[in-house]
Amino acid sequence: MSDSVSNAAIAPPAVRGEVLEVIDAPKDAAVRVGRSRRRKGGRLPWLALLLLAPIVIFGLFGPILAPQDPTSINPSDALIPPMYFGGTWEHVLGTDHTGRDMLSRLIDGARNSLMVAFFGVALAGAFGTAVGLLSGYLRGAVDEILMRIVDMQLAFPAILLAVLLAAVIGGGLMTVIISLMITFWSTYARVVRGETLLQMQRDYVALARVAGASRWRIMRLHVLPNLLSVVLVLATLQLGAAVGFEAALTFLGLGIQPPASAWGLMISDGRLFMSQAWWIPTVPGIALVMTVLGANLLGDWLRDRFDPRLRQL
Amino acid sequence: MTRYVLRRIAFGLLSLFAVSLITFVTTRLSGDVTYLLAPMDATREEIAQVRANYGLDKPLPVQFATYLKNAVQGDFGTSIKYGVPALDLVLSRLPATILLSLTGFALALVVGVPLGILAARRRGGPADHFASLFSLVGQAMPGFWVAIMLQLVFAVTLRVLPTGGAGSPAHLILPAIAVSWFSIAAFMRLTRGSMLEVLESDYVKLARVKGNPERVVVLKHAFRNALIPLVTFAGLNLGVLLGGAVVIESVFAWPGVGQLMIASIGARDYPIVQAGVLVTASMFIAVNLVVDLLYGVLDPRIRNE
Repeated sequence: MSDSVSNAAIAPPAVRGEVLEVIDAPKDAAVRVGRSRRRKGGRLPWLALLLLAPIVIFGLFGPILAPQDPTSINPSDALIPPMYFGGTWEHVLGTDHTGRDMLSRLIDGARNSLMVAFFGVALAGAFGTAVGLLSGYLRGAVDEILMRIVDMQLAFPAILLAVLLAAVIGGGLMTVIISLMITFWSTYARVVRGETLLQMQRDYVALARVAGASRWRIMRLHVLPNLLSVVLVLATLQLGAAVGFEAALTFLGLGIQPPASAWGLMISDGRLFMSQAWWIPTVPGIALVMTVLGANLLGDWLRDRFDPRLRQL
Repeated sequence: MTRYVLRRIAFGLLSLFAVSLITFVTTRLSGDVTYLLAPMDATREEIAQVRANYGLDKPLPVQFATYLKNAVQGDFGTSIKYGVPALDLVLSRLPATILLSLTGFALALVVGVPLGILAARRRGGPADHFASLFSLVGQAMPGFWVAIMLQLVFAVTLRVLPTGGAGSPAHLILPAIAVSWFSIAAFMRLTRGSMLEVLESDYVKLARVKGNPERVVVLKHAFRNALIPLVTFAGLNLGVLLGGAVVIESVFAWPGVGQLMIASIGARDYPIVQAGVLVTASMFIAVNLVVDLLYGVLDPRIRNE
């Protein structure tokens, strides 16, 4: 759908030959949209949206929504259980060992998690897409070298890279984002390369070439817009993994650092008080599962709707 | 076949080289690596001594060559905290990590695959719905949180299993479940999908028509063919387990390489971290190499590619 809009809007009408692309691209896109409509109807993934709604709303409007200051320590209110477990309306999800309000910490932590996951996935996506496009378009030696690098990247587990980075530059937001970028880009590169190879066989590429468009122009204006749906699906599928990865690193002390709020930090704090307060490690974990599950379901839905070819992922 | 084997081995060696390069480059990101290697309260003379010892006053390519030479000889420097060679310490922790990863792997196979077969046979039934729900939610649960929830239930509340540490088979139970959690869900989903596909095929229908008992049809005719994608996934999954073990070990104070590395970051014991990363990555590469070679044996099409 967006393919037709972008292609038609970008191509200057007066240039001879480019007319061909304008004719070619929308028709191609229309066929695709028509097919996917028929397959799935117009149903939205309500469960996924429901699961993701809290974290997104918390992430965007956190400071307005938080009922209390997430960092205010109040020892007299320490270890109050959540409502329905002996707690009160004042602290709906209870308090932690220093008397901080769990709900406010949860809301505040959502922003950090979202930000890290979003930037990590976006940077990895941009870099991986560029590599995959170049590899698939240029083929030959460039393709061979880039794909071997991708293979090697896959042989280096993400967590090891993060451990190494944390040891050298210390833990923090940047460590998590850089590790996410360096480890996640290779999946995009591989998938985008495959998709580029397919797109290259389509008529619109041949027509653009006949019309005299340069390689750079074809890559940027014709092939790239047709890759965006694949990239978007992949990014959504990776978002859940990114949130989980950030939480794990933060839990180990390599990610977001105190006194900031983060779900991983809440869980690691809660470990020490588990025998008295089960809710401290449990509540942020449930938020984490909801987020990852929501992102996975949304990704699955987008994949089925826009790109059934990605089904093996 | 010989050519295929040689190519895979060459690629493994190249990957090892790449991992060392990444480790080397990452180290230099911090600026002067001397401060990572020298004790925090080192005097100016001691720092100069460290710099000369590690050849850090030479140009970078020379440093990388020295670094590679030392790594090949197993010299990753001396642990700042323990004062023993870093590699020895890491290798002494390796058996615990391998034990945990392999137990987790076995558990994932033993639990995940039969559940997947069951779900496929009872398609649409309660068992299938439960399996689908478990694999969906199970895969969304971060391993470290599963680990803590297991501790909360079985160690803190029910007091039937130890919270952490090692020494008896009971100590292995919770960490192994936590390490394999994601893989159980993944194996189950994959087995179910693969079995459903095979159960629809003509040769399974024929096997049924011939009057074979259902058990023979499912286990002999269908399952054998459903195994092919599973083997591929199992190979990739060993690596996932190894990465997961790094995190889970810390939760359970399991004395493996991962726990050592994480603790060493806090203690600013850089040589240990570096040796740990290289040893774990080498194991990962070795596993991948073995899996690749196995494919070559199992599937002649791959080796002639």
